[in-house]
Amino acid sequence: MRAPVRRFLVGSAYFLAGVGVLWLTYPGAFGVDLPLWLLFTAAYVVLSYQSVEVNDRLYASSSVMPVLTAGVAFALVSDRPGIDQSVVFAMTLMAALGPLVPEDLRLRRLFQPAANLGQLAVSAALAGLVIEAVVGDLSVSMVLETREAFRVAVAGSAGAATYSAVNFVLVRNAVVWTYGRRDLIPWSRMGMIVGSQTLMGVLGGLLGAVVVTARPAVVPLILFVYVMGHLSIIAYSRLREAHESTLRGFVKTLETRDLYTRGHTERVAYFSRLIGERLGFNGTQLEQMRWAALIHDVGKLAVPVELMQKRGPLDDDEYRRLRTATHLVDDLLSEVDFLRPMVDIASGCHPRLAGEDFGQVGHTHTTSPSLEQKVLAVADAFDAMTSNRSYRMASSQSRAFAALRRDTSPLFDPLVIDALEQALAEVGQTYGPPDYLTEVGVETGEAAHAHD
Amino acid sequence: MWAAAALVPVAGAVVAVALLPVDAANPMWVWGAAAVVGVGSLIKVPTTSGSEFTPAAIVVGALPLLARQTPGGIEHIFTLHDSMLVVTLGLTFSWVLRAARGDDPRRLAAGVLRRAASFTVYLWVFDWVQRAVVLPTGPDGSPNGWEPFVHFVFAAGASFMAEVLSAGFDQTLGSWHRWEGRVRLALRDLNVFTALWAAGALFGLAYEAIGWWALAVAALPYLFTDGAFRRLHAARRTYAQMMRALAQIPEVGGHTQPGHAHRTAALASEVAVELGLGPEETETVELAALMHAIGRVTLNEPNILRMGYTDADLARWGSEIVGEASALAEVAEVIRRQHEPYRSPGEDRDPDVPIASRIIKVCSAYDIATAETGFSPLEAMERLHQGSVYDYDPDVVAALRKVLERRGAFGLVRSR
Repeated sequence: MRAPVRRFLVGSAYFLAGVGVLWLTYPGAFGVDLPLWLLFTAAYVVLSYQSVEVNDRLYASSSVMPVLTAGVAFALVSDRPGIDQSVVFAMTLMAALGPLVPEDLRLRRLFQPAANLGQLAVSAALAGLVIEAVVGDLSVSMVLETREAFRVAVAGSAGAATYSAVNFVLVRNAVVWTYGRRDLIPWSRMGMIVGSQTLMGVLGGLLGAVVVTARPAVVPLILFVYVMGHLSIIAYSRLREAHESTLRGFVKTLETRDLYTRGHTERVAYFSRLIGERLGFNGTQLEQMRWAALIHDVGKLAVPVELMQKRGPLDDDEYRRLRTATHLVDDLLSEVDFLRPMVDIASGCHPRLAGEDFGQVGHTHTTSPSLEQKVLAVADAFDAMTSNRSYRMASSQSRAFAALRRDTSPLFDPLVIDALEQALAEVGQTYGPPDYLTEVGVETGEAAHAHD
Repeated sequence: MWAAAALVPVAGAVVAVALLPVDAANPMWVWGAAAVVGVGSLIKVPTTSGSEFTPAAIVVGALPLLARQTPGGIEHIFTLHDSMLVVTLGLTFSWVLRAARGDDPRRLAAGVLRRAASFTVYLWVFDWVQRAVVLPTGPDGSPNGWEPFVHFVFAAGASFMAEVLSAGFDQTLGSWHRWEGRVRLALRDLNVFTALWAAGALFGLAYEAIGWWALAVAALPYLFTDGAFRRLHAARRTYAQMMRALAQIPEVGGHTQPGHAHRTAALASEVAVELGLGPEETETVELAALMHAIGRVTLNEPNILRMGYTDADLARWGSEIVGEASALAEVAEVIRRQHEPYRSPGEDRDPDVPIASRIIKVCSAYDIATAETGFSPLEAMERLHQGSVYDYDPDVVAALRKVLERRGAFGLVRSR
């Protein structure tokens, strides 16, 4: 089955499930305090738009909180015995409104909102049942006893755990069914997501209790605190972007000078990511690899002009001078605390030194290269070999791999080379010209000479 | 200065003794709160301006709102008198702790006094607003739930004003525009201020309803926000470090004198302050000055050397490198125009050339004259004066002269 068809089927199945849950829980009349419901819904919709990516692993989204706050608040106000259907319905409807992003609708991207509606409605309905089961019989006036407050906290956390766990499973399955890929959201993330959401749930539950005991002023106060943090997170991610694009400006200068190396840094970053994912690097390591790839050639900005003018491979003495110049820049960059580990990776990835005097030059004082250095070295050499240079033609992908395997440098670890080969096969990409173009008569660079 | 600084804790102790009889039914509340204020003052929350905000503000923010259930209804725990006692005791205690830690006594004294001012204003205004502003009650006579919020907003607003104005008084020696700059810088701390005080009020209000569970309600959002502040602060520091490192690439490449970028940046930001530029503009000047020679990294490119280049080319290439980051668009523009004369013949002043570019032109020329050409500061200034017909803006040159005089660069003793 083709992807668009699968997408349509999954989207409509989720959507129908969501509508079904709404229909099942509808008690016949709205049943809860409408102004309060609208207030929480507004908070929820705003927070849904506002999730910010803090880094690879952590999404600062707290949209679950208003849903749970509302759920607990309504559950505490209602004095109907047993499970109050109107509370469950109020939560379900609220959650279902979250995915209605105007931008998506304008662009007629219907699959995502439809699937989200279903998955959020189902999650919220189950969370509502849990909350009602824990605090449905509780009814409070002005002040909560310690035991009541404890039950409220339990209700909030259990509701949040249900909500996020169900949501995670549904999202993951939708992705797997639609795109057939299992590596998009690893299961290991579930623990972290559910854990942080459960904590949010404690907060949401207690907040709900405070709100219904005639102290609505806590809502703007908590928003004050939260919004300040949120603004800082936004400023932080902007700053990180500026940080990266500033470095990119330098890389671009470097590459626009030389037609042959254009895009080299981007490709090295891409290959490093492929290898890193294959070798099971975590988010922090992948992030480090990206930065290391970004800076691994910045040292060339300080290379003396006569070396830049030289056409053809450098002799050993010239190569040493080149390394001295680039090390000066590495020294500069390693003054930046944040970049130090990346500079270590980047400055150890150049293979010429690895065979002879690795450990004496550069910032690493280890005797054998780290895995990160090997990854970057392989990515770097592979891209250099599969692209044209002023003094030689590109070699084919298979020849490049063969040359890498022949090289005795400790940087070209067969494990890493295999990882790159498998990863490229998996994404179905080939670099360099086809074999028949390079098989005869064309001198191809060997691995150790091909880096740049 | 030491004597003046030592007066602060003495005055605190005297006020504390004068306030001593505790109103509260349970004096433990007062001692406990004072201890938390003291210890909380040891933790610094990073701010944009460098002001010393601490979690002590959370405690003080909660004081007027803290209430508990009694048989006769809900009753406030702290009277104004008790709250003032908490603040005085707590700040005196914090002075002792921080002096023992070895903090600079002058900064410490200034910080404690500023805190005392903003805390006192908060408590007094809160007390006054509580009596002056009463919102309509519910049909059954129950108090209006929004009332504490309104009181808090008034009191916290007044307290922030005290905070900002006292930031200006920190440097009373400066001229008017420098006072204004300090105040504008302090205004940027509104985010940290709001988060701290609102977290305090949140705890005070929630304590009434759910007791010590209120700690969770106040602490979780605050910790998230606090983490965000620290993250942002660390990223700012990293970014500054990176810009400083990148700025030196032309120096290690041998295209400019070692230290040229740093010296020009330091001089340019002082001149910017002297000219009365605000904190944002000064920041732009400093960054642009740091990066002004970055276009020279292209000078090891054989093609460029073969074809030749002008100052305008160098400025443009530099601005292209920096302009890759959209956040630095303004800095890139300043760098692009750094070589332009401030006016052309027959014209008063070219309004298009940004003031930052004019500052950089002057400061960079001064540094090259002294560090590279080997002129003395006075000789360098003479060249700048000579060049101020078209090239160097005389206002900027005059400001530079004042800065250099203050630094004692001319080695002259002023006769009176």
